[in-house]
Amino acid sequence: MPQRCCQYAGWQLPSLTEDYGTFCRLRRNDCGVTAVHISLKVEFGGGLELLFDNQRSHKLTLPARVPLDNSTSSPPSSPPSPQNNEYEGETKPVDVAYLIHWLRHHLLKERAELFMEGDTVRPGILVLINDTDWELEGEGEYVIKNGDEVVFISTLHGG
Amino acid sequence: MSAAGLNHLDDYQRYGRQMILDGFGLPGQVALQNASVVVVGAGGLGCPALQYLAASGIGRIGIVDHDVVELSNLHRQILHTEQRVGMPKAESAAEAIRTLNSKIKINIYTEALSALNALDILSSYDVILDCTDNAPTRYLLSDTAVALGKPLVSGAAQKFDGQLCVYNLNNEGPCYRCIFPKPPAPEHAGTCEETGILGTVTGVIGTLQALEAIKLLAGMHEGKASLLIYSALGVPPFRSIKLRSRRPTCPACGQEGLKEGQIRDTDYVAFCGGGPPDWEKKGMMQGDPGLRITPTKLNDILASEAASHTKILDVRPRTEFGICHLWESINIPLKELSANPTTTASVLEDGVKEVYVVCRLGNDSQIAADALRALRRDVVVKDVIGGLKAWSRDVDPDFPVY
Repeated sequence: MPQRCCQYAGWQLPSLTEDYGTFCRLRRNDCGVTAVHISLKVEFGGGLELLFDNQRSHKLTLPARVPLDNSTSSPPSSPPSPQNNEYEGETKPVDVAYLIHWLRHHLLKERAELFMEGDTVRPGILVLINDTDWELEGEGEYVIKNGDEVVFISTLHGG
Repeated sequence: MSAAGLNHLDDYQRYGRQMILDGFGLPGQVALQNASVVVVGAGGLGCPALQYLAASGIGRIGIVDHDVVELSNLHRQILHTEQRVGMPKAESAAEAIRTLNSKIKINIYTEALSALNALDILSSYDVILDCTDNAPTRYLLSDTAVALGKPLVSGAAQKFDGQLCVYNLNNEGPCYRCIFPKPPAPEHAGTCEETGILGTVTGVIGTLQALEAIKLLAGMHEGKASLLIYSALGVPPFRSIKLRSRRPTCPACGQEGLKEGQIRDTDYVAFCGGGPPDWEKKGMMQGDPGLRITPTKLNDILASEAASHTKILDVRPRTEFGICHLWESINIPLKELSANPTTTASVLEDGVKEVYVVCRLGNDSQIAADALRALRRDVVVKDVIGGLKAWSRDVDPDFPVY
């Protein structure tokens, strides 16, 4: 059944991703089948959008289980499928730490040092999960759920 | 008149429209009348904040600013006027709000707020407004507000975006350090001069700062720590964020706390990795004569026969190129050049023997010239010292400076 989930989604059609999210949630709830992908919304603000093709809002679909070491080697252009999700090493549920690495490797257009420092976002970037400071939600360890919204904003200093 | 009344009879008429509000009333107005607010920074945020604070009848207002009014301030710093260009901003703003409300007391501080004077200057006020434009002062203000046990209404704005937060709310809420424990590198903290700012965006945030101060003083604040994010082009434009509580290990407001003496001993500029870079000065560095050229010498070359095999490459963003440019120049923004250096190098036709790279102040042009030099060893690549600003100063006074 997970294969059908992907076919239903229509990976290249963002307008369908919400239906897809609902579908996966229904499957998980009704049949006990765990969704293989998670849909979420990501937003950038405070100037960070400039690093991401000057686009503030992005709809993403990520694998539900991801490598423990946050490696994001699968190319972004290929549709996620159960096949290329069969990662050999240890996995974990997709979390914000993975999302940050994924964004850096697949969505970021320039100057990675303005987005990340070490294993996390650089100082001065605030991460919000569903309009709440991520520090209240477990920071990078927060497990992303279908339909979540994650916002990255850079602090402003001008006046 | 009773002790709990307003000081002047006509004040009842003056403030009547806000006094008849349920939840505000006479007690609200009396609270404002007896209150004191200090506004640090009389710029884009400070001006609208001061305007509304003065109009609302705050008893005593402090204005801290060490800058003078410049022409490029007037599109957003709405208390300053053409006649007062060159005047200290604190004095200019004081003059403006005195005209608006002659009964309020105004204290002016024209020295820069520093670790040595912050406690003394801010201690006599009930609420502190952070209307500054740099990270070191923001950390200094936060630490001082915590040490003095006062709420800090903090605003910031850049480009089309703004942020608003009350730190140390009721001496329980998080401080600036709790939310941003590590300062960003100075080159990542852009200024309005570098990144631009829409005047009305500072107007929105500064006005909201005045509103937060009034709510605090009149006892109408809901008391929950939140960060308001404003994006003029966003739909919806406002977003309110639930913030974490205090960080127990916070060096300023955590269990250990911060002693007042520690503030005086802190070098806030060093803590933030040094002051903001002086881009104009950096761009004016003479450098290797084989790599850089003065505007005057470039002008000579353009007037000579060499002009026929010379190209001027302007690496500013397209929007800035659209404001003004040298008529014979072509525009390839540094961003595009860095992303695709090979394409850029191939734009230069075979006949071109010399390329002069130019930008606003002479910093980006150095990066671009380096990249180009590595790819086109057959061409002389130099960049213009001081950029177009120096061109305007030394060669063509009619060339616009922005």
